[in-house]
Amino acid sequence: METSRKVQLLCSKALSEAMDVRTMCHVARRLIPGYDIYQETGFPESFAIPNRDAADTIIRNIIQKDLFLTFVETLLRIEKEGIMSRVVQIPYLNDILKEIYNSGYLYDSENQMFVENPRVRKTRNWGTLQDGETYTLAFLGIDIIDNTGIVRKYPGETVERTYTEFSYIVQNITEKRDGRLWAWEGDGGVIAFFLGNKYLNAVLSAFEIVNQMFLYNRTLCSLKEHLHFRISIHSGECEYTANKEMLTQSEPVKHLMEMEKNFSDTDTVCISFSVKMMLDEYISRQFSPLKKGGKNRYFQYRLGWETND
Amino acid sequence: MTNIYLFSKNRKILQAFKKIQKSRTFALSIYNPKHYKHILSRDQDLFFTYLDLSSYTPAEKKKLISYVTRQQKFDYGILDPETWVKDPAALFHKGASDYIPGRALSGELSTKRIKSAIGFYFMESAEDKEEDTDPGPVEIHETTWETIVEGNSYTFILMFIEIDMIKDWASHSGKSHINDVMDHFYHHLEKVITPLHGRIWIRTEYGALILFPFSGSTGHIIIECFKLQLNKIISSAEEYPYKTILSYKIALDIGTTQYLTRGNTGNIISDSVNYIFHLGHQYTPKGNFYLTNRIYADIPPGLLDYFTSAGNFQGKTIHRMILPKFT
Repeated sequence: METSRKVQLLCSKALSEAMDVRTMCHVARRLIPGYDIYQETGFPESFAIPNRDAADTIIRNIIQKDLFLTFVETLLRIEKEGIMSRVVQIPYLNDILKEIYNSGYLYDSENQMFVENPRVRKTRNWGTLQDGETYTLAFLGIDIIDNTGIVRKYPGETVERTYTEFSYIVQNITEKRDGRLWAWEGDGGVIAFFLGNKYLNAVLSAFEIVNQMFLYNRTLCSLKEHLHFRISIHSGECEYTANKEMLTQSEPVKHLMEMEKNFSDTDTVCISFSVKMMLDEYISRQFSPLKKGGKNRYFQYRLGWETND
Repeated sequence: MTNIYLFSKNRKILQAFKKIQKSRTFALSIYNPKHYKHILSRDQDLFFTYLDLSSYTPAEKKKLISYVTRQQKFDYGILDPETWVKDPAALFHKGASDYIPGRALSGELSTKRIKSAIGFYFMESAEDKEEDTDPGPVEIHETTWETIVEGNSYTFILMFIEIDMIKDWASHSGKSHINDVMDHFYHHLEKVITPLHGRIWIRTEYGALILFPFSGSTGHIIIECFKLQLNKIISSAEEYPYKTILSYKIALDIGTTQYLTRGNTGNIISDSVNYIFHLGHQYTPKGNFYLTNRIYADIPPGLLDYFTSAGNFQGKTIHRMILPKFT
């Protein structure tokens, strides 16, 4: 991220007014192992480095190493938890957050990290996942059932219009809950959730897709039949890479594909145990256990209706 | 007023009956075609019925014709937009009072036509004759908030909505908790109705009366109310912090009322406003979505199966949404 002169000055003032040089160096070493302030400032070790000089140098080095957002995340954590058993009040934090917000980033308190503001831009890694780092994500997989049959039965134009409408429904619903499309192949794809309560966001997205498709099939769909689909949700640890192909080869995504193939039913949502256990009870109880599934436990939601008039 | 029962979920047919629906000579009730046997055998009042063949499969069409031609309880007309009947005259030999093929259904049906059908076997009653000068359809003004002037009367879609206050909250919670719930509820409502140009007009203890300026159809508002019932779990999780499923009762109608700004509505005298409050408070059970026959024709045909008859309230036929089932 580009850092303005103003925010650099604010950070430097915040650091120098909140702590002594020794504590500053401690903070710097959390981000840059082995950080040596004397080497960086050029002051001889026998000298007491003025607070402001030390702060300026640390901020400059942090920006050079592209660790600015991580640094502010660390300051926020210190303000909340203290450092070296001491409570530390960090001034200008609100001003710093305002500047970062203006640069297109928001603070996600659930994950305690800055992420891109979706109103400004939407990238696959929320502007924050680093190559080679491992993160826990929730994945939603969705696909149209009997894609081949539909393609054979209807004119290309009808199929294209229907599939575009389907993808709009899925994209609108998942993106408003900060989901990111990691793969899309016309008749379905994989959406990753990382921010906020990722499990809840994935499950509520699935519920809304089910409801929206119910209405779509009965009011707008151009096919002479309903467009059927299936949804699976699983979560797990995944090493982030900018390589899109590699991303979809990760273990949780492979597991998701297996669920989709073997356990997901028409117009239903199938979730794994790792997702169900993270849900609030009133949401979790909407899912009933699936008998099939071997040693893995899966659960299913289907939109049901009152039976008698 | 003559009761006319229409069994159809064909948009073209519903459109053709628009004028009849607004007429003061007829009370049109539209029903789900699937339930024709149940409704026709149940009702004892005098009525005339139109049955739309396009809402049935070929096998069902045969059964339907066999059923109506065998009975002598009511007079009927057949609507045949697909011109499926090969010999319409045979229908008249078997007692039909009317047969309307597809090409006659392209516009709106006139009240004169319907009167002729009703009078095909029976003379009109003296009461009907007095009403011979048909006042025509109820006048509907198309309005937007920009054209609405305080003090004047307009046609509005009237939506009564109340949150179903959880028993324990109502009896054991303090006022501040109830206020907190209502703040969340009104915030949620605003999010839903603002894109549809709706405005909260009168607040009630646990809900509100919302006005939508009428601009030709109520279909989009019916869909939104349908979605409110469908998305209960989602809104409970995203709009409220209580970690429990919250539900609402909704009553929907169309009517005319003088418009006064919120807070100055105390002296409004309007049958429509009275009716929607009575329907919402007295007749609509918790968690349900009820609507009147006046707007039933605006339900998208694909959703008609999700509405069922809910009897009659203060002279109007009421329909209720079949609800989604949550555990």
